[in-house]
Amino acid sequence: MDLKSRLQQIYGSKDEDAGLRKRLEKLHQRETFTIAEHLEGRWKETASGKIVRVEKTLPWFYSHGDHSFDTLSSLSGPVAALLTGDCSLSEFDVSSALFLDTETTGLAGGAGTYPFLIGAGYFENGDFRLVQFFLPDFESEHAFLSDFSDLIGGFAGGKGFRSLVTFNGKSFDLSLLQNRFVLQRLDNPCEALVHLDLLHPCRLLWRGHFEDCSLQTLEKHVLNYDRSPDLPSHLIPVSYFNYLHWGEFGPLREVLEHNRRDIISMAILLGVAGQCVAVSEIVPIIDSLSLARFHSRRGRLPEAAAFLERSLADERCLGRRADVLFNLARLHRRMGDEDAALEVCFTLIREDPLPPLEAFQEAAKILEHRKRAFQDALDLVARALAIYPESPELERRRYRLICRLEGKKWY
Amino acid sequence: MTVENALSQLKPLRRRGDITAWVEQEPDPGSYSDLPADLAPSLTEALTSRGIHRLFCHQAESYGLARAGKNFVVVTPTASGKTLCYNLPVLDSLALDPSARAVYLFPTKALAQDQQAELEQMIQAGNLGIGVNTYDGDTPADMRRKIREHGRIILTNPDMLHTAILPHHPKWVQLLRNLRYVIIDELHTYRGIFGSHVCNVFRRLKRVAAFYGSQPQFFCASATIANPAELAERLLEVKVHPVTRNGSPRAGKEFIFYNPPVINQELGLRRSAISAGRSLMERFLRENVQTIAFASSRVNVEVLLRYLQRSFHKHPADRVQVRGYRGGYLPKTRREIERELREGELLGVVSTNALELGIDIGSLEACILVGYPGSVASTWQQMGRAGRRTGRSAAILVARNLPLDQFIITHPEYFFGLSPEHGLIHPDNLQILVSHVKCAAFELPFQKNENFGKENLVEILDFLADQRILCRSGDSWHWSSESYPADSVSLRHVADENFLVLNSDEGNRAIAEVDFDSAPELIHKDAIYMCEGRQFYVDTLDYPRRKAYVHEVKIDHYTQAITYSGLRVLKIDETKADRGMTSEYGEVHLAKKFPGFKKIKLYTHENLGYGKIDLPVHELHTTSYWFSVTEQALPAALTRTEIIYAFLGIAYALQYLAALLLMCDVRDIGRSVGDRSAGWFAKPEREGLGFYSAAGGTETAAADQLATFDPTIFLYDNYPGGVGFSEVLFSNHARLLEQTRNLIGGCGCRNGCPSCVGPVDELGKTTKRHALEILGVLAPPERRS
Repeated sequence: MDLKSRLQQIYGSKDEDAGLRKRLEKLHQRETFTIAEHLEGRWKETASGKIVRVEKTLPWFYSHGDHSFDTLSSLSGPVAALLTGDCSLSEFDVSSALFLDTETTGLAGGAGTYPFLIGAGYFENGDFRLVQFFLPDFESEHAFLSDFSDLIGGFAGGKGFRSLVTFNGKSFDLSLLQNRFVLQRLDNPCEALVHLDLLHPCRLLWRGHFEDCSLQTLEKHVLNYDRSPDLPSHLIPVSYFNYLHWGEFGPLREVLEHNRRDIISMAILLGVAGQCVAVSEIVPIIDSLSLARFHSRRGRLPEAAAFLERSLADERCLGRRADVLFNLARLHRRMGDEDAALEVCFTLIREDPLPPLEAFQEAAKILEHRKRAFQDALDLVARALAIYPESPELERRRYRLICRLEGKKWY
Repeated sequence: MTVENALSQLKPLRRRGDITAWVEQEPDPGSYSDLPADLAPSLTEALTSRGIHRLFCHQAESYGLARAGKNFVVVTPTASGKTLCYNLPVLDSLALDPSARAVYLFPTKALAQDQQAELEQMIQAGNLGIGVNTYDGDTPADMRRKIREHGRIILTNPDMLHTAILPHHPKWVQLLRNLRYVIIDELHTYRGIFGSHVCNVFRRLKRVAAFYGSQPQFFCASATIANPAELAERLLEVKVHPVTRNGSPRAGKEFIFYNPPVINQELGLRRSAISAGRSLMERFLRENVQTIAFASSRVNVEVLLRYLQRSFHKHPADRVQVRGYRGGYLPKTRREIERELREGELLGVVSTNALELGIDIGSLEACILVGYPGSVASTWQQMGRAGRRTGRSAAILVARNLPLDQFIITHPEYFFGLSPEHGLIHPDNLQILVSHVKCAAFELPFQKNENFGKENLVEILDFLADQRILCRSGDSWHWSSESYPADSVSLRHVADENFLVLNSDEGNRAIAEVDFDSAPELIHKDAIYMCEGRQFYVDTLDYPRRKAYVHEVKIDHYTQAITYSGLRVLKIDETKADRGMTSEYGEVHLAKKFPGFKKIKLYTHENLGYGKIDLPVHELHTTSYWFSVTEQALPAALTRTEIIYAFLGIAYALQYLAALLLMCDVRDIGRSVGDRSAGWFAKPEREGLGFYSAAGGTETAAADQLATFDPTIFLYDNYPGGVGFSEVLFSNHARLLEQTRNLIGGCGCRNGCPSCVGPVDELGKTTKRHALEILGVLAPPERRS
């Protein structure tokens, strides 16, 4: 038996009618010189192959949901550094930032996953420029990557980009691109740029607000942008394979559109997120408790405390009043203001018919260790034990307090 | 003196004839060389600080080969300082060149961890500053990046190389660009299907390394097999030099083969190996001899351990401590036991083959193998656990009631002679090859002029492009699928995937494991599964997850699956004919069906009815070896029914002997008795002989009414496409028949038993005699070669 029949015996055959295949191949050949037009781009020929480049320009006032690129105008370096908690971004400047998103042949990762579309956005003369690099066949990958490199190196008369903005690029897009640059034996131009990944700050800010923290969920709720109709992400790899195998490129237009929307959303979301953390007022798209959490995580305790105070009046936080108070007490203690911490704890204990155990403990700790008011602490523990009779921590504390009051050793 | 005391107690067994071999190994002072003069000074220091002032000659020879840029395989016994053979050149080179890196491959995770400790001690002693890291499934995610970038020596296993390292090679640039050495320990374990896969993993490694401009040297270590260099060369597809002259010193050692006495002549049953092993071990422990016992399964470890603990419990004055060791124990416990053994705190240990490979437990004084481990190489390795540089030691093999054990125990020359075992691989098995072509294409696109395997690569690539798994672009083929191909290719045999039997009465506690091939027969839905004397009803069989859910019942019957397997010869590769007997090998198509099951009443064996099994036909396209005999060539006095029974008995023994020759698991080969032209197949049933056609329907026709009568024994590769067993069996045809005759003829039973032709209650009392008559014609004693 010949090799082909043996292979067919094991794997089955997908033998199409030979004539059909020929026709499709012909179709493919004919279409390769129209794909650029179909994608509204142009061919770019280089020494190592030819690729498709699609360019669009959007004015700064272009509206995207409730916002426009204008939201980015107030984004300074220190705000970017605050947003990400990364001080290497303190020189961040929107005008030298490149917003990047790729579309790939799968999510598996590894050397066999190819980015086939690199979308890049940046500001030039006040407009937002979108440049998309499309890989028309695998053989042209070297040209594809080189062209992208040229964009990074050659922007604005050699001034160059200084930073890169992505959404989940750290573990996905940039990691895959790095693979490709290694495989094509090219230097990776992204390595020279400071990287701002929006995913983690967005998670910190909007965790618990919506069903998840994906870019598409955030653009819907935070930017109030409705992108329908849209090609769902999971159909993107198969759209590309259908193009490669059959020359069918209809849906690729939607892939490019999807990619452009991602970049625009990402850019505007950066502006909005920056505004959220830069101002001290309550903003409608994020609750004050989350902002307090954010500032507290970044070590900005007075700001965090201010937001907690405000969230007592924020109706979105009403259901979480105990949570707010408890966090406030903690913050006061961390800032060294024990009286304020105690006061908040007592407010909580007074107000809440079933105050949380932690509130009692927080207050008892301060009374015992800071104020050395053992009797007050003991009274408080007794009240707590009436509500939480099973708590071994309370029992231990009570025993210790009694010993201290009697001047005995408890250890 | 204590070993001698214990051994002297065995003399009565020797007189009774239960000891079939007692071989004394003379002490050997060893053969030494000076430390190489050009060794890195810090390494010389490390060696001398650890008390090593000279090398054994095999260590010096390996070092010389490594320096000359050659690949080598060291084949010396357990505890002969094999690891230094590769550690020395690797550390030397890494100490001199700070960019150089090495990968160590071990077949199991435990071995890698053990080696890491050893390497680190050496590196510390010489202050060499070489980072050694284990990279396996347990490596924490935050460590991985560091290891990828800075690890100089990476210890891992082939599975990790296959699924984690190669598919992500751009992340391993530092390693791959500077990869000087690949170390392969326990080379002999890379045989059969596993070896065939691993050979392809090496093809991929070499391909990716070449992309980064490196061409590593390979250093291997192997247990004794007949063809270590050949196996290494087939596995690595480069020239490999064997290093076989052992220079390590050894003290005297006794090797003893013990066959427990027959206790039931009628059934041919011998005293169980476990209880025989237990009394032997007890003797050694009472003499204060540090002893290890190897049992064949995890369950047997526990049983033997419990026996021993109980007998020492009876005499608390003895205060003897015995512990178990097997997979499934927590790593911490294992490390503790290993340490206790090394430091002599623990007197006895009962282990599975988990302690057979090179984990450092020091050297013990006695070793008892309860059951033949399945290969000569494993037996030597296990026996090598006993033996110190000074003082006598002993190793005892206790045989079970199984054909392999009985063959070995009655043919000690097979064991003590030159190793007959061949490590075989067949990396170009089409299915294995294609799955790795996919993985390789994922790693780097294929170019037209590349080589990968011995089949026509372009044709395979074009086929995969037709399947739209690859995309051809000019003269290169690129991966074009969303999947990650390495995830769907397991390097180990499917038979390794056992089914778990979970008892829903006890919150789905696992009560037993059933091997892959037996699962359809034993734990199909509605089966009664018997385990430790209890009956369980199978509620569901979750085939994809390899789990069966059961609950305990008490009923009056058990179930027996009806299985048919028919073989059809598709292509004959070679034929030999001699005196009415034709032996052949080639390609066959096998269909195994499970149409239903019988409910059989306990004790009376009455048939209570039938049920249906809803499992797909198991089809297998594979290679087989077979031989058939014309009716005229067979003893005329025998009826057709008697002949078929005899063939069934011969096939039973032959399958075990074939596994012995091929160094594989018995389950890796299948057997079938039927007509050469697939007119009928035969199977012993409770009610008598069952015939069925290759299509699967039962035929009740008596043997005399069969239209064709060309009785044939098929032994086939139990793996799609075959892994090259058939050709070896074919070329050893005469030898196999002769061994079969010796095994059955030499068996102590009267009418046949599980150690020779199979259980009497299935085959009847005359089968053994008839099988010997037929073998007398097919392999007459005077024709022995």
